[in-house]
Amino acid sequence: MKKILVAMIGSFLIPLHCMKAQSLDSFLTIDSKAGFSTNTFLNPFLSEWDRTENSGYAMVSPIGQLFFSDGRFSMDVTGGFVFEPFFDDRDTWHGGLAVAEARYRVGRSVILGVETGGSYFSSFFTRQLFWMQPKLTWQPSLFTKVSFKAGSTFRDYENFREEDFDDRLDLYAVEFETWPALNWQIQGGIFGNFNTSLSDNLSSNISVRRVFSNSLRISLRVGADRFSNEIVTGGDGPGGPPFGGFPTETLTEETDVLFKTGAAVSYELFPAFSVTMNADHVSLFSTGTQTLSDVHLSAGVRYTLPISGIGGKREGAEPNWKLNGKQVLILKVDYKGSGILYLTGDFNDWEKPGIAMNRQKPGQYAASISPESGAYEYKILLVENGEERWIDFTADTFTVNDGFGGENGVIIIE
Amino acid sequence: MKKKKHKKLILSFLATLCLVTAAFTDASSQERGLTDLISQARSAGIEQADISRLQNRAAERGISDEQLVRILRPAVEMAEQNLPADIVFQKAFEGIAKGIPAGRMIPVLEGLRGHSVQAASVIDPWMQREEVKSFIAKEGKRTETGFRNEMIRAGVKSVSLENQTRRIEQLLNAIDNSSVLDKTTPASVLAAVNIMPDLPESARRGEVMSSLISKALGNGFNAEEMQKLPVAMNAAQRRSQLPAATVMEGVSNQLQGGIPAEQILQNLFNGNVSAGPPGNIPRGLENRPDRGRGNGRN
Repeated sequence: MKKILVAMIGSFLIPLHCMKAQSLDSFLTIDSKAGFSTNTFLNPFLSEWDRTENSGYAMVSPIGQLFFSDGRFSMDVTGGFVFEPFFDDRDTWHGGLAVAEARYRVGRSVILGVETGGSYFSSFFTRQLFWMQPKLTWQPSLFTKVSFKAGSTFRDYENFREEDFDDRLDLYAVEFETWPALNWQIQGGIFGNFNTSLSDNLSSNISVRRVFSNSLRISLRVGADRFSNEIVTGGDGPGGPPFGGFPTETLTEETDVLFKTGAAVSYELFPAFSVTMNADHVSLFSTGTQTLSDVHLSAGVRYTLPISGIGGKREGAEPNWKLNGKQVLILKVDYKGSGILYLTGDFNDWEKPGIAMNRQKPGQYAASISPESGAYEYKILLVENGEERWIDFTADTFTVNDGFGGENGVIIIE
Repeated sequence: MKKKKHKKLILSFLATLCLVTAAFTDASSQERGLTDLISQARSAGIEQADISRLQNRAAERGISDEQLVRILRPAVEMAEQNLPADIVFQKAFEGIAKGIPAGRMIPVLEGLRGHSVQAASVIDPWMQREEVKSFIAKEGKRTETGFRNEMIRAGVKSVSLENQTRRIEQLLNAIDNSSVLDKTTPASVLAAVNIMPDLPESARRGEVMSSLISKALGNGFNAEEMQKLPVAMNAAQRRSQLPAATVMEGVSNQLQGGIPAEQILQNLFNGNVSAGPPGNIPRGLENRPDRGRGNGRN
């Protein structure tokens, strides 16, 4: 499975690398948190039902994403690692996951796609998953979409309650998302298993998110799962719904209903840097025996940044104008290369070489000008070994056609 | 035999004399043409300093007097028509700095004259409106003439790329009411005209574009934010994979909802066309780490 995972990541990265000339964005998110859970079912990335160990945990999870698009086609590739030590004698839960989703928009409101992924995690047991499912998304309006997906998930457990097993689940899901108002988002879904009837195995959830400001968002979640399944009534299992498919010796038919509630708060302290808090509660009502309640609390920080080099940063100069006082404008340019940069444009009647830009730190140059109100076109000239070359701007820079087949930057002074 | 040789020599001498005279006359008439044009330029109000600068740079680049006449003429004609000749001078300086051959520069400069006339034909009537006059006076940083010249210069870019004279007119008509002008600045209006050619194709349809831009101005987009709008809309279209018309609808809706400009731009860069604030989590990652991958998986 490890090999499959590596091969999957590789097979997605190779074509993406070839498509580098197309539109490609990349991000890295680093999640770091600490939490406490009375049931590993509520633990991020673990999700197996186990109430035997109540303990805290810490988690660091760097996850990267590549997004590629070309016309109607787009693809996300997400992959990362998880390192989660427990505050008890259990071994660290660690592993990695990779997910890819390819989409093709066949019309204004219909998107066809396929989602595939795999993960490998290991600690006091080892779990490997691989799944693939075609997906159809219908977007009746800009603010509402419904997705249908169905496919197979292959699971392989080792040393799970001292046993090894593997199986296949044929799953389907109907998910929807709508924005009833600009600051309200409602998401929900129904998840089922083809191998059982709808009444025997159904999971549903709904979350409502209210966006309070640019930096603060609060989500409330409720959900319910219903299972008519075989659970452990003998042996040394702890009982509970078979989310992980418990290997059993003596089985009894029972119906379990799970009610799930949760809340999440995210507050952006600085651009790309957020504080997150999460609380979850689950109640199990079992027809056979008992009513159980579990909680999970966590808090952490999340840092997201674009990755240079793989489409995150574009080639060329990226100008950044800042007003210093009322008159002087400072242009900062990120440029990696040798030579001397000059700023030339309407404000100096395009007299070469122009205003020399000072190197502030490796890859960053700055120059200041004091023009009157108005719009000014400009360009950056590189002089290296006596040779001159005009530097192109990045795709994210506002430029205008210069009439000669090139592009000029434009700065408008208030 | 000797007589015949003399005759040949005389004929050769006369032919050479004719050629030299013709060349001298041509050079002389070019020089006179340039001198006359410079004199005409001064009469039209063009500053001598600009003319001298152009002459010096043209000489350094080896541009002939005949070519210089063709470079200067559009500027003179514009000045005579009360159009901002500076547009031609700046473009000529730029062309010389970039090493553009005179032969390629001349049609561009000649085109600027025609496009300036077209742009002025819609900008001048707009500038005459009382609400526009008071809008410029209220800011107090620009003269009416200065702003008008900047607007023509911005309009020229739209007109030169594709004939957008009608679109400029529609935009100006859409923003001449107090609900927009009270909330914006001349620099933002200038930026709005500047970005017209760079909006996605479907956004450039007259009514759609003027509605979008007037909403953005009314929403308080400053010049810098306005300049980011085309790039942000293209990014949103790329990230969301939605058709451009749908992206327009989303942007329009966000503007209507009064979401701050900075937030709208960040939404668009994130591919969030619908609404809500920007997140710092890439699309598709939001639900993954905390909630697993759904029933029966992670």
